[in-house]
Amino acid sequence: MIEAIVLSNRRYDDYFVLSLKSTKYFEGLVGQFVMVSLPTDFSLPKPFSLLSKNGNQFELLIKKVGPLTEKLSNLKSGDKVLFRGGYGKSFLEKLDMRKRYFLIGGGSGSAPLIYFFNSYPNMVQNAFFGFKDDGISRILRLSKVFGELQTGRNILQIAAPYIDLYDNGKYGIIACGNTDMLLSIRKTFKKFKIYASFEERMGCGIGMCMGCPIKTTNGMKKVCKDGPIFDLDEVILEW
Amino acid sequence: MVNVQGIKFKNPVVLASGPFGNGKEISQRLNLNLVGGFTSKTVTVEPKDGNPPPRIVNLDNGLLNSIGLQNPGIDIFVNKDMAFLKTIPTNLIVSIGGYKLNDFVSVVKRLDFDEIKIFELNLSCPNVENGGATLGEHPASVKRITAAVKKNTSKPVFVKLGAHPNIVDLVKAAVDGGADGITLINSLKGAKIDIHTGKPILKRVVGGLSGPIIKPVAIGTVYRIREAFLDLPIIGMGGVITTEDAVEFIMAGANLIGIGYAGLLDPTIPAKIANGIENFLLNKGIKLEELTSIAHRGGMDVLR
Repeated sequence: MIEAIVLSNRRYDDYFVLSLKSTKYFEGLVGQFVMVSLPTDFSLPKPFSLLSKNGNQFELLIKKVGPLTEKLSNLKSGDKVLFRGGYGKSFLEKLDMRKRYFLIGGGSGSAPLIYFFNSYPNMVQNAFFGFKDDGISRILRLSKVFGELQTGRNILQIAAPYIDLYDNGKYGIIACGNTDMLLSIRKTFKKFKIYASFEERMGCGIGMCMGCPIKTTNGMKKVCKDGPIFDLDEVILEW
Repeated sequence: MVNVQGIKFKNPVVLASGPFGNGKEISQRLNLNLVGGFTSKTVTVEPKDGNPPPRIVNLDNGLLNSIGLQNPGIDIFVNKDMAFLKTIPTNLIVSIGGYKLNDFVSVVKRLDFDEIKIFELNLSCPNVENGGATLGEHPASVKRITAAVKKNTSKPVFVKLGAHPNIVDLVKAAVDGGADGITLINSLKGAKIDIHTGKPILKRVVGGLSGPIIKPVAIGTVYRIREAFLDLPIIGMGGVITTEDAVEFIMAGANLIGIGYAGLLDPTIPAKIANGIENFLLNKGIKLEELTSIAHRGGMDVLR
């Protein structure tokens, strides 16, 4: 495990952005994730997509959902975390590079897409990051954030009318969110190439423990090692 | 150096079956030359897709898993996985699973490779229906399967069991069937309810519980079996994450120490523990054989 120091922790509602500085060089490409744990206990590390990376500094967008994320949310600058990674395939390894993309993120699933958005603006046609409350844009330091509370609509309802105008084969979609959201995206955008970055509970993060299976038309694969991004055509979502 | 049933282990640390798959990924992050052995993921006759996700539930100091023995089946295991496993620079233990006696026999018949040093019969996976787990709860079937496998191989056969109340009878049955050693303990059975939804997180509700939270149960089981079987080789496992944990297992009676959970925490831990045990022995000025089962011989006092 590599030690990282907390530089800042920006909180909003159930979400927080941890800004960290690694004590060692590590590779963390767009779309990759890191496994994070605390030096204070022996609970297993959990996967979090990189929100940004610049040299040894990196950021994670995390939602409080359980004991580890609760503890992480309380970290202050100067505190330490342990991590290993980056793991998984980078987005560029899988995407059709000839297309321009619409990005659709649901909640903390927006993290890898925001990293993509900031890294490859020329590949992005437009981006839609959906949260309950758009106040989160303050900690994300980003526009393109849509709050269900403010708009009264979910992110798909907001994105669909706009994206539908571009169904000429030159555009694709990259999505990240829960399975329900991915199912709706597949139903909504039949004429688009869709790539999805999958969230799953993981054990090892490196392809050995079989903890994060994904059923595909090419057999069983691993979200951590073969993904987390997959061509949605290849994935059997309902298992 | 540890000698178990005529097989030389560089040190008493072996990687347990499951968390490390069939070795490829871990070998890129941990020099397998630094551990005594590597246990394959359980292989069955037919390929198995395993259980639908979620398969992992993290707990404080532990883990619930519901993998369900996902594996490519014996054909692909022999043709692909073995090609890599043959090359690892440590003793290879192959874990075998099945639903009935013949499954174990037909798998073992396909695995006549010199590189395999030990077979481990997984008679205690908590995550499959009517599988090894059920077979492993009854002394009669434990004995029958062990004897049938022994008839079909000249290699040492270990039987992996869970922490059942009748564990002494089960181990006796394995020994009667010709087992050369015992692996203790497989994961326990546990469940977790999501209090926001009011539903179990795992689709099969109950999964295999492992990690530091099961260590006292594992230590207790190893101790009990060592007490009942003075010379039986034991691979002890269950929540070993530090050198101190490993030493505790050795004192309780384990000849070899299995590591699973800790490798998920940090893949380099097994090598650190192997090194830590060596340092512990050096500091105390004793040999591993003297430390093994010392809790049954009056403790460290006997060395003075």
